[in-house]
Amino acid sequence: MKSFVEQGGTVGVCLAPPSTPGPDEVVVEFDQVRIAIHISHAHEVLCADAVRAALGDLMAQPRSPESISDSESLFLDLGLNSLEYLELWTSIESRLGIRFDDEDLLGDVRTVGDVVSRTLDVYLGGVPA
Amino acid sequence: MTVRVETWCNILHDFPAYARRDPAPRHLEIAMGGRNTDVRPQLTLELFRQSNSTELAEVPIPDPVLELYDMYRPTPLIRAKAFEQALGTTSRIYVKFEGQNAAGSHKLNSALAQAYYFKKAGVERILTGTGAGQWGAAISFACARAGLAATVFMPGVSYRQKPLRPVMMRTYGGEVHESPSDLTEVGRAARIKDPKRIGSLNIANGEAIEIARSVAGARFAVGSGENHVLLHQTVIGQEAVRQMEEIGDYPNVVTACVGAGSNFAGIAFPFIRNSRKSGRDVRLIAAEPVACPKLTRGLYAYDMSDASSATPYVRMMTLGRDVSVPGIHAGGLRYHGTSPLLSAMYRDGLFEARAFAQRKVFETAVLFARTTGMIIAPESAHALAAAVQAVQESPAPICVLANVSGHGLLDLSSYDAYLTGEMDDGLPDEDMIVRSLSLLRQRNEQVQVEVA
Repeated sequence: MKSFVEQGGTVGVCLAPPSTPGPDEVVVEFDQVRIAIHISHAHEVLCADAVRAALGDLMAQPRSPESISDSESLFLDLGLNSLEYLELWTSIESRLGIRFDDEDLLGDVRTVGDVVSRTLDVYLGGVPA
Repeated sequence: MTVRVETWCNILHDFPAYARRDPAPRHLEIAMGGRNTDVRPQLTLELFRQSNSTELAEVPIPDPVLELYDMYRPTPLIRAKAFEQALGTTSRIYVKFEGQNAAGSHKLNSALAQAYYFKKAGVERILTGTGAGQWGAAISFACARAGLAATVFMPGVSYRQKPLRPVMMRTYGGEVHESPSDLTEVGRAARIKDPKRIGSLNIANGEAIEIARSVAGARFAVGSGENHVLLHQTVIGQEAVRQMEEIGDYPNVVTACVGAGSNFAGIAFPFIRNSRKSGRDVRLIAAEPVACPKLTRGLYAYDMSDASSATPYVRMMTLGRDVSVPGIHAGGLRYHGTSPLLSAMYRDGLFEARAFAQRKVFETAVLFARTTGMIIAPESAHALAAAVQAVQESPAPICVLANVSGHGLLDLSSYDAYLTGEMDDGLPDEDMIVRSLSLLRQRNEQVQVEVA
C-alpha cells in the first residue's frame, strides 16, 4: 500500500495554532506544546482518487484512474450519458461514505475537476472539524 | 382488513445480479445513430438510488407518502364467488382491486411517491407521457398535492377514445396535449409518418423528454418500466401477501397485465419473495394484448425506450421502437417494450406470459361486471382473462389472484363498442411486426450483439 505522502498527500505543521482548528487541521499536544497538523491535501487526494476510480469503472473502454485528467469533459471526452452521470455520483457516495443532494449535480458540472471540487465540498462538509 | 404496509419490496436485494449495469456497447450506440451525451439527469438522486440499490430488502415508505397512501390504502382484495359460479369452476378467484382511488388506477402509488421525491429535489414542473391516461391522471393529481406543475402528452388514439381522461387531468390542474403534437420536434416528425395521429407512448414520452431537457426546473417522470416505479408499485403485492394470509388462502397463480410492467411487478415481486421464503410455489402470468405481444413474440435486444433519441439504449423484451401498434382500447398496453428488469427476469424463466385478443378480454370483463358489479379497465381485464384461462386449463381446482389495476368508468365507450359489435380483436399488422423485429435484429446483430 502506498503511503499518504507517496499518494501525493502533504503534511504541514504549525507550532502556534489558533485556538479553533480549521477544517483541514488536526491539533495534537506533546508535553503541553500544541501543534496543528494540516492534512487538507489528504482530503483532496482522497476525493480525487475516488472520483477517478469511479470514472475508471464507468468507462466502456477500461481506463486507469491515473490516466483521467481534471480537464477532461465528462460528456465530450469521457462520453458519459445521463444514467452514467447519476451512477458516477452514487459510486462516489459509496466510496467515500458521503451523500450528495440533487443540487450538487446541477449547475456547471462539466469536467472531472468540477466533480472533484463538488465532492471535496461535500466531503469536507461532512468531516467533523 | 387492517393491513397497513409501510415498506416497498426491493426485489434487487433478492436478485442482486439484476442490479448490475447492462449498458449498450458503445459501438452498438454508434451504429444505431450515436450516443446521446446531453447528460442533464431526469431522475433525482434518490429515485436513481432506489433503481439500483440492493442494500435494503424492505425500503421504508416516507411518512408523507404513507399519509397520502392512507387516503385509499389498503385496497380491497376480494373473492369473486359469483364470477367463479358463472364460469362453472370450483377454483377460487380473488382480485386485488387498485381502482378505488381518486385517480382510478394503481398508477397513483408511484405518482405520489415520485411527486414527493421530485418536490424534495427542488423540481418545479413534471413532464410525462401517458398511455390510456391513467398515469396522466395520477401524476396530475399527485403534482397538485405536491405543489408541482404537470404537463402530459397523451397518444391521439387514447385521447379521442377516452376524452374524459384529459378533462380529469385538467381538473387536477395538469396541462394535457394530444400526441403527436406540433409543440416538439419529436411530435412534428411523428405527424409526418402518422397522419392519422394515432400516436404511441413512445412518441408521447419523447415529446415530454424533449421539453423537460430544455426547461429549467423541469424533469421527465415515467409511469412504468423503470426500477423505481416497479419498487413503488410493490405496495400492491406487499398488501396482497398479508391479505391472503389473513384470509387463510394462498394463490397457486397470480396474474396481472403488462404494459411496461409496473402493475405486474407490483404484485409479482412480493409473491416471488414470499414464495422463496415459504417454499410455496406461485405461478406468475403476465397478460398482454395480441396487438402488442412484446413478451410472447418480441426479442430480448437493445432498443430505445422512447422516440426522443435522447435516452440510453436498454436491453429489454421489445417489438422494436419502430413498430406501430393497433389502436386497441387497452391503450396502456400499447408500449413497444417491457421494463429491462422484468425482461431479464422473463428471459430467466421467473414468470410466463400469455397474449389475449381484444374481444376475448372484453367478454371476460363483461361477465365480471355482470357478476360483481365492477366495471374494470380494459388493461386490467387482461389479468382477468389470464386468470380465467389458468382456471380452465387446470385439471384440479386452484386458487388464482388477479391484479385488477383500475376501474373502467372512463372506458365505457370501449364497453359500448364491444356490446354493439363494433369491436375487433385488435390483431396486429403481421408485416409490420416482422419488419420491426427484423430491423431490431439487424441493428443488434450487425454489431455482434446476440438477441434471443
